[in-house]
Amino acid sequence: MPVPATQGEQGYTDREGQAMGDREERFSEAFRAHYGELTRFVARRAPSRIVDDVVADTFATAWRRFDPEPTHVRPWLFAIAYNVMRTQLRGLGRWESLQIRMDAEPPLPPSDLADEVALRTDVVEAFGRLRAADQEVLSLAVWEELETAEAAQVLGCSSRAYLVRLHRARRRLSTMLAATTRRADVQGARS
Amino acid sequence: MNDSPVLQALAATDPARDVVADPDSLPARALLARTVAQPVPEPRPVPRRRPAAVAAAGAAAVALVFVGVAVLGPSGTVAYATWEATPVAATASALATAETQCAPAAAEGGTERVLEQRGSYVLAVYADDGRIAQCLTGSDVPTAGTATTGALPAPAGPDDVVVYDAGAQAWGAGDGEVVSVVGAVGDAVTEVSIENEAGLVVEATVQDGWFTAWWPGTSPADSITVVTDSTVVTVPAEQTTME
Repeated sequence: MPVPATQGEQGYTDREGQAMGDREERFSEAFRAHYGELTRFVARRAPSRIVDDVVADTFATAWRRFDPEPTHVRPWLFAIAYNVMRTQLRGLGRWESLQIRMDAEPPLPPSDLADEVALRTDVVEAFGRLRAADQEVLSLAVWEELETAEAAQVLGCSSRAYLVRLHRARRRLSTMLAATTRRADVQGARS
Repeated sequence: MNDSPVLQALAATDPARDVVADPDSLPARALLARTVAQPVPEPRPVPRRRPAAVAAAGAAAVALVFVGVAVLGPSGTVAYATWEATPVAATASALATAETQCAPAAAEGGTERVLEQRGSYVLAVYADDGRIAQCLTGSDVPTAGTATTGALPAPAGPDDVVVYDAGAQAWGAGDGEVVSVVGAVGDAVTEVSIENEAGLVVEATVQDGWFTAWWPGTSPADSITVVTDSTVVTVPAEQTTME
């Protein structure tokens, strides 16, 4: 004999209320697990003044779409954040693609070797000369440290396509780095 | 991934290295409370990307001897609104439409070699004995076709690729202009992707030793990446053969 549904304070039946409670609990777990990563993901790409808004809108969207049995939550959140950032930047009248930010003065390596310092300086310049698409692929691998399938999910492409794009981006970074190093050598010889 | 000195150096430039984001902080807990207080809409299925078709192929050049364009359909609409960089298997209705509207191209090119769908658009490639014809159909663009003639050498080996139409120029009509790449691949090639000069990366469809890809606009192909189980090789689009 079916159990009659009863109404709770929010207008939900008991069973609906239980489901909502489970959903909220699962979402809260996901929030706590990924809040830091998501904030840093956005901070790497969006102007600092909109980071908090983007994070809030991302979680709001995620809450509306949340699957109580989630899988691959991290890349899913990152993909939502991408769309939120694009939308907000369009709203600000900025139609250009999202720009990866970089720390132009990274901390010195512990060994403080001149070669390592020079390499970091050259890498900053070479990375800055890459196209936005290449910067994005590299950043997902290096800074977010996403697995191939995760990065592909964020970018909305196949794992194979992501690997191809990563391969190209690494090749272009090497090319830019070689050009940067050569230019530095020439300037050093002139000084 | 970060096993090379270059990537290790890049990792050290993380702009968010010092960003503090504690989920147990007061602002974070307030955000969570505000978020879960929002009403939840009726559940709906999350759209999933359809699996990519295949990809493949290589490099360059058969003389473009003839280009003919036939505008058969309506115009004045936004062209290629549903185009996607990743192809899908063609639907039955799209196949039927292409079969009907591409009859002239089939007569020009011969045997159907590869056919792919992107959004609501289908590109069919017909080829025989040194002649190729391409036909593009879709719901909001004119049906257009282009034909290429010239020698069609086969790939030299299983990892090899030959490009018959390297996407050097656009074809189509008015706002409906597109660029396409067509070629043949060896048996070991599993995927091909093309990047145009505007930076757009397009996955190709690989089918029965042929490959093709196309994109809206006039930006020519810049490079072609060919994937086998053991290699990933990128070559300039104008290159005619691959090692």
